[in-house]
Amino acid sequence: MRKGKLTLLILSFLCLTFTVTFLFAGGGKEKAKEEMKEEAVVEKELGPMPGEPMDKMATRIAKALAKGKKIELHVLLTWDPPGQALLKVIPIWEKATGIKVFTEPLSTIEMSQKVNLELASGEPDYDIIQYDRWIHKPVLENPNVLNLDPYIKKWDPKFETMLPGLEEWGIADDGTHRGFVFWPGMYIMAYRADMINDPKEKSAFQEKYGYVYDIDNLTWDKSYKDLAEFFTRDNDGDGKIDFWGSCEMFAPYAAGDTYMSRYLNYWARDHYVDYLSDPEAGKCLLNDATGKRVFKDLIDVVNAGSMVPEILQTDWGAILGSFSSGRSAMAFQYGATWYPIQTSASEFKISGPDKVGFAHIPGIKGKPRSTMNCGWISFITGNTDIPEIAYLFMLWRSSPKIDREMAMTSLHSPVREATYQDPEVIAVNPTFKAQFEYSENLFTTPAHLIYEEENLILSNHMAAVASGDETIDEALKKIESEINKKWEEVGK
Amino acid sequence: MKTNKILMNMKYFLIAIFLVLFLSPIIFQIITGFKTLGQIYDPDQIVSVKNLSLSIWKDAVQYQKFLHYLKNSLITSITSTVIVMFFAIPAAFGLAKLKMGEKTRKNLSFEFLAMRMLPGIAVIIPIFVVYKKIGLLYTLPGLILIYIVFNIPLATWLLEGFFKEVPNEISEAARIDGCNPRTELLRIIIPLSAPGLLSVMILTYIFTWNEYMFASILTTSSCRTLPVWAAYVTYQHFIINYSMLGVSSTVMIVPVIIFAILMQKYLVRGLSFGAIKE
Amino acid sequence: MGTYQCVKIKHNSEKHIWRWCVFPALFLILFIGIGPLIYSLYISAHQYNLAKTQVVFKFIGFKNYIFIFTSPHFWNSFKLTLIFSAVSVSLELILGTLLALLLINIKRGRNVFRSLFLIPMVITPIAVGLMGRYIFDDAVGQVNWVFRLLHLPRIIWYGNIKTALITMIILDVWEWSSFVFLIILAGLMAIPPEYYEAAKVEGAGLFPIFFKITLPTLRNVYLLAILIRIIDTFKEFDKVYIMTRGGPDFSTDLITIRNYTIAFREYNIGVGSALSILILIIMIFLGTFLIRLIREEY
Repeated sequence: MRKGKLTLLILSFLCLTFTVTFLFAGGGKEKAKEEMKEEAVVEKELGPMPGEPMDKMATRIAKALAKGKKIELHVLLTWDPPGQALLKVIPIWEKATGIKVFTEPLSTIEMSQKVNLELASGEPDYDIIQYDRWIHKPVLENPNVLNLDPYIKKWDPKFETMLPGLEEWGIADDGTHRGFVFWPGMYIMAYRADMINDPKEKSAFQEKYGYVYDIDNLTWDKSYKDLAEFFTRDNDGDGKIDFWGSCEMFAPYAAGDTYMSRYLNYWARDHYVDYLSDPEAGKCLLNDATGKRVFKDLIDVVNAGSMVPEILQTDWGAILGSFSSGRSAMAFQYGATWYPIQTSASEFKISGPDKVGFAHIPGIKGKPRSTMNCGWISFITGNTDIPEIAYLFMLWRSSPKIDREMAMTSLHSPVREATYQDPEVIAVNPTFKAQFEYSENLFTTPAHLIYEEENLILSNHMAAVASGDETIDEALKKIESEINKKWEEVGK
Repeated sequence: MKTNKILMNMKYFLIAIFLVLFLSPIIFQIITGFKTLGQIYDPDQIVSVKNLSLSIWKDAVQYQKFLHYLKNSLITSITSTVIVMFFAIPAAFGLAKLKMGEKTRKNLSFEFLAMRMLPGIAVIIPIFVVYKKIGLLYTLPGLILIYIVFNIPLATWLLEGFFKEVPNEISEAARIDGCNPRTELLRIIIPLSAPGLLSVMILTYIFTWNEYMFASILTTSSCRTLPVWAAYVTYQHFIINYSMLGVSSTVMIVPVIIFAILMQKYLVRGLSFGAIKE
Repeated sequence: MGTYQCVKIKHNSEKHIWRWCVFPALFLILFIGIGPLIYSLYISAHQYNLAKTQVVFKFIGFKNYIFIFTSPHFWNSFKLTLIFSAVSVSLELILGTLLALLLINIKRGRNVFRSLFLIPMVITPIAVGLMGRYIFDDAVGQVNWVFRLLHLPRIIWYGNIKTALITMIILDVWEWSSFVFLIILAGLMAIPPEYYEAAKVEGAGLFPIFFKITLPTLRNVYLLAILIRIIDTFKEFDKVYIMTRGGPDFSTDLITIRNYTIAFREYNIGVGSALSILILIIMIFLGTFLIRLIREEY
């Protein structure tokens, strides 16, 4: 009997110890390392030299700072075109500075999860973390992210030569720079050049609809709908439709991009204010006339049967497959998706300039044309030992020379405007022309604390309406109430 | 008789159909690992086996470093299995053979079984937080520890069944000879239930090889296991890489399939545990 | 006498030897298996978001549980899991029995067939999910290729709200029917032929034999199969997650996936922990109920 009681005691003690460990582990300590590393007095040689290109300056200073010490830079990045493009140029950095770069690639699935958990733990294991734009608000506001202002002052990244809006991506609520854009990508349209540019098709279309289409100036509410309907056809004569006019994304999270790309073009305002919600008031703004109109035009295309049947499972990764296997005449996706099929040497059936063309996405007559950019943005962790070197690395890879180098040799979307307009670069990347068009009107996904959740709510109701389970009015009402509830959950 | 022959032939025919239904998806998946993306997305080549190539595999070895993940999976599974046996064999022995209150025996046995019902999702958050604190996060030992804990219940329960099959008379005879429990375990029970032991080891190995959820949250590229790698190499951001899906699936399932076919007898024993009573 | 070296031990301590054997394993499980549960319980009474530092960590009692019970998503997940479990397990029982009956009288090559049928069961669930993603894809998959060949209607399997869960059920049945088949076959092989002889002598037909002799004898085998399969379908995560992440408009949002989404995408681990505690309670009830059914026989 006594032994039994003793056993029970030991057991409870063990469980208690474990619980207590957890209690001290939980709660999330917050270490804000905001203080600048002022010990580095800016000597002449650690400042920019006149006429020196940005990349040379970055490597020179980094090399000087690292003299005599064995330094390794730890970068967490995604195993995606941005990550792969970076991996190819890292040897250049290592050779010029002698600083080794250790990279840890994550998948997109893991990235969102790992990044947030790393930060929440208070002691991230990396110097630089690269993450996807649309989950970035919680990251940007995290106190474990380094304030970049002091370094930006010392070593100017020349934001004014970058695409418009890229600097703002990285600015937190308190006005300080926390993130540094590395890789933007614009949402564009790919189309079957062999069919769309075919004069026979053009005249048949004119006969049926009474006007001539201009692929570079479609409108969401008229010519795009007509074009999608026109090209939906039965190509092999078995009585069943096997080719569709268009392919857009309706999968969870991805559907939000589909919606946003249209909404931007329907705004009566030509200046981006608040899309989806007012983050200050915690109120959803989608349930109005514009929101309804966008929804209706989108669902009209679905109901006309002009979209590939698998749209509910179609996300960013599936568009290339649907288009390049010859299922649709038009498809929408960020620029990088199309890199594998933009040259004729590709393995895909539908590839090369004869078959594939690129254009800006449709707009609305009389309103400014715009599109959205997504992208990857990096920040420096608050507990790093080498903030200057980390910053210089980020500066180096966004410098005009390296930016151009990556655009010429990998699937890289440049940050510098000049790169998009360089004819040599465009020759290698036909999508850049469409990506750069109307770039003064680029918009990006909103920096909301709960953007991921909002996106999921929107996506799910889009899927419901597309399947005929809900009407547009019901969907908008539900979207509004569900998003408002989510704002309440985070205290707004 | 004629009807018997017809019946037999019908049976074989039905079996053949089921075999096709069960095995053809796997074969298609394996073949995909030998096709390029362009071939996969070509509607005319969906079931063709022409022009297969090893280029994807070359890419997987050189660029994706899958041998590293294979090594991780092997280390994890083998270590977990061995250590699980170290804990489960004595526990099962105690529950099956040693003297204790009958009520205690029933309760403890049930507790081990109940642990199997524990959904991983219920413990993963605290485990993550504590691992991060004590530095076990993103390490192989951390993952192995979790696998051990989650496989002991099933292993114990199965072993208990196998040990119970060893007739009590043998144990009693040994006791009369003055044998202590430790020797009884090592020299009598284990040799007599060796097939059962083997089947439990195989089952545990397969479970740890196949596990995904804990591995995806508790590992990073240095200690990543094959299932996690398969998931992430397939769903790249701008393309669903069906070629790599084929390669990674093949690497994951072919060893297990070969293992299962060779050890089929033991596997079946393990799975038919306690279900058959004389 | 004995052929081994033995040491005489006192009779009294033998009574407690079992603790040395059982407790290491038990402690390990309790420490790392149950300990975290206590922490989960603690967290479930708090508002705690792992990533959004703006959400304050504070005690809120039962609010998380109330939130779950008033959220339509939870009830949807619970309903879906029930449907998934009930339909999958039933189909697996039927198919498994059918396969076992097919093979029971076949002497030649039975072992070969058995090992071939084993295969779907030992395959990594992630690989099954990836396989599903591939073969059920309309553009590149073989299933729809066959459908087109046979002029059957085009079904967008996991890209359609109405058919996504059915696709998951099909995959689960494909994967686990072999498990039921193995157990039932072993059970059938253990039935003494005398049972059947007696029945044949009295001229009983095939169906009555099956329902009046085979099934009752195998009652426990079936119960065990049901127990294990139901518990496992409730824990189902890997293949559904990898195929649809919860599906078009929550149509494959099983309870484990819901829990994962709340905890690791929204980082709301207060609610996540509460939900996992609830799942655990459900599983314990289910398991105990089913085990009692088996135990009755003993």
